[in-house]
Amino acid sequence: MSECNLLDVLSNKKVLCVEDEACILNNIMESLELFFGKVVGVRDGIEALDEAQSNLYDVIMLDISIPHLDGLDVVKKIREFDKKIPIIILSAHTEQEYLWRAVELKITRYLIKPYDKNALIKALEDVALELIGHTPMLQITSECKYDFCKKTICCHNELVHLSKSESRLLEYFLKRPNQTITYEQLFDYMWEFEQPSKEALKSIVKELRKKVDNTFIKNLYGVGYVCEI
Amino acid sequence: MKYSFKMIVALFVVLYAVITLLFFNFYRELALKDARQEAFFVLDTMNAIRDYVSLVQRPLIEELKAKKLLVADFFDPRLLSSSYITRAIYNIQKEKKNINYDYKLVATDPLNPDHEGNAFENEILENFKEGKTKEYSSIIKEEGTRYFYVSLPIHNSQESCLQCHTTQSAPKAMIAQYHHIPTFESKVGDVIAMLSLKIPVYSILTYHVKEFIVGGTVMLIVFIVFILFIYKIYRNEQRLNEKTSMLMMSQNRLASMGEMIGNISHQWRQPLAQVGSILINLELHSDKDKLTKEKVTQKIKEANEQLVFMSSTIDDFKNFFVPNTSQKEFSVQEVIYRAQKLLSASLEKYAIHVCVEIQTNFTRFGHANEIVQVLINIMNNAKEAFLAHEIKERKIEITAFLQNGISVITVQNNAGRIDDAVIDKIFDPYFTTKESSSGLGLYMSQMIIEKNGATLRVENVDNGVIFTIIF
Repeated sequence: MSECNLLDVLSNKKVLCVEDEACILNNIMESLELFFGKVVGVRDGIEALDEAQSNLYDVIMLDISIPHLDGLDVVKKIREFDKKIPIIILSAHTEQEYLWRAVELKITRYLIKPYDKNALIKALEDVALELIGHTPMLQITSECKYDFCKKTICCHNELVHLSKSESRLLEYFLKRPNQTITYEQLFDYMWEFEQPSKEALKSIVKELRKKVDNTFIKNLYGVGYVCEI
Repeated sequence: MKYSFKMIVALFVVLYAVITLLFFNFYRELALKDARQEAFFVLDTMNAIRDYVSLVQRPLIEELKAKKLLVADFFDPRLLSSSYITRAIYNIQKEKKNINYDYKLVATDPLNPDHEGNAFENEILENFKEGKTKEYSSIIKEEGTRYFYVSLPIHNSQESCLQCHTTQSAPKAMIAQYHHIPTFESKVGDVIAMLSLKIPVYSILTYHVKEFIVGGTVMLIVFIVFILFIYKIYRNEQRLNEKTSMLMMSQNRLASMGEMIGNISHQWRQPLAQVGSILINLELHSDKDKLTKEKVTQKIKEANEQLVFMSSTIDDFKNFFVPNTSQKEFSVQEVIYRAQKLLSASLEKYAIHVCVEIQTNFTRFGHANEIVQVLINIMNNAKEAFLAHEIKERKIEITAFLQNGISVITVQNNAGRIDDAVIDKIFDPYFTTKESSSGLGLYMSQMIIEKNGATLRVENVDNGVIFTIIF
């Protein structure tokens, strides 16, 4: 685990970045692109909420003073439908009023602007840890382990690399063990706007079964899948 | 100080004049009273002399006549006429300058034509005769000179008087001397004549001139001391006022400094955050060896833009704080623009829309910074009202126009009305409805506006407040 870089966990993740100042947003996005698989930036509270509701994001970073709906209100609304998504607040405000509100929203980090690189890295690591449930190596079956950082499967002492979409899908399953996952959820999460196809999805699942274990992803006919660990 | 110093001094001068007048009048009355008493005393003495002549001297002459020591027909006014003797004594006194009174005896139908009274004297004599008064004193005017006139009746005519004052019994020598002796048509004890003294008022007052001068001087000194005393109090009050206003100025200055520093920090927060994000971005790219030359150039350019903005912001604030002693011509557009620019960060932060309408860009001569300060003050108050009343659509309208040739700036907001109970007090020093406020902002604003020869007014409008600066 020591040689594992936690930030690599993020490489197949999607982040939503909310900041009203174009220049700052641009720079943060450029920075985040170094770590995340995909970065989307929006500039106001309503847009941010719309994006978050689309259910496509793994992480959200937002400023508090944004037009229309303030950052903390956005988080409050997100928490109504998603209790788990890691959230980082970026703000110049240190007023108690804001901090009180933030505490109740179970956010991962509250970064005070201007922040430095280390604070950002630390926050991203926290987010990564949260995303993998604080276990960088997950035992999928008795023989197979998944390494979140390296995106590899260690099965019967053999190391198998996963593609980006494979690891993304696997992590989505691992995060929701023993839950029904519909095709629609997966389509949204995996493809966003491109026209997805069941065949493409099935082929990824097939690859996963081949690389890991045949049994841990079960078909639910006409509905989707369930991951049993 | 409720009343002006000048008014109090004026009041004192009037009071002093009244008191002095009363004082002199009082002294004059006193002097006249003294003179009257003295005159009566003199007249009483003369009456006494008359009595002596009637009761002692004449019977003695008669005795001498009876003893044939004098001829039966003897008559000499120097021994027998009381009127003659009193006049002679008066003349002696007058010669010695003991008195400056004009003495006169008035009788009806007198032996001596000098004793004929004028209309005024005869009237008094008639009153005496009828017993209406026992003494008389008044101020009369004769040939432009004022006299104090005092008279007493001669009421005690004796039997010895009648002897001579009857035609049949008058001595031959007396008849030879006076030719015609009118007979007294009265009984013994009746009033037959009166004595009078005429004293010039001027001489009475001159006699008391020392008292007048001393009294007047003392009063003047007392008055001057009073004025000095009041002046001292006035000066102290003035100094206290100066100190208070200095204190207020510095308090207000501190408060507005604090606000300005708050504004600077608002203004700077954004560019600082931007530069920070640029640096992190550069550092992360460099860490990952993804830093290209183009990227560095572009990021440095971005950072420089922010630095230029910060530099110009701090210049704006510096210009605002610089205590420019000289007055300059400035345009209304310039001051409104500057006020808006200094507050831009906080206006943006609280989503306050400022709508500026310059109908006439008039120019004024004075301290532009002071007008800017007032505008900032009013806008800051509006900002606080927006927050306190939780207004969603926040709008401040600043309008500059000419009305009948008078330059006017209005600042209107929709932050809710000011309570009618307090709207008259908002310009009072230390009046505030907020917890963390000195209560000096609007007071100082009004002072500044008035110092610049303008007036600042406030009114409630539909859903807000309008401040009007009338130059």
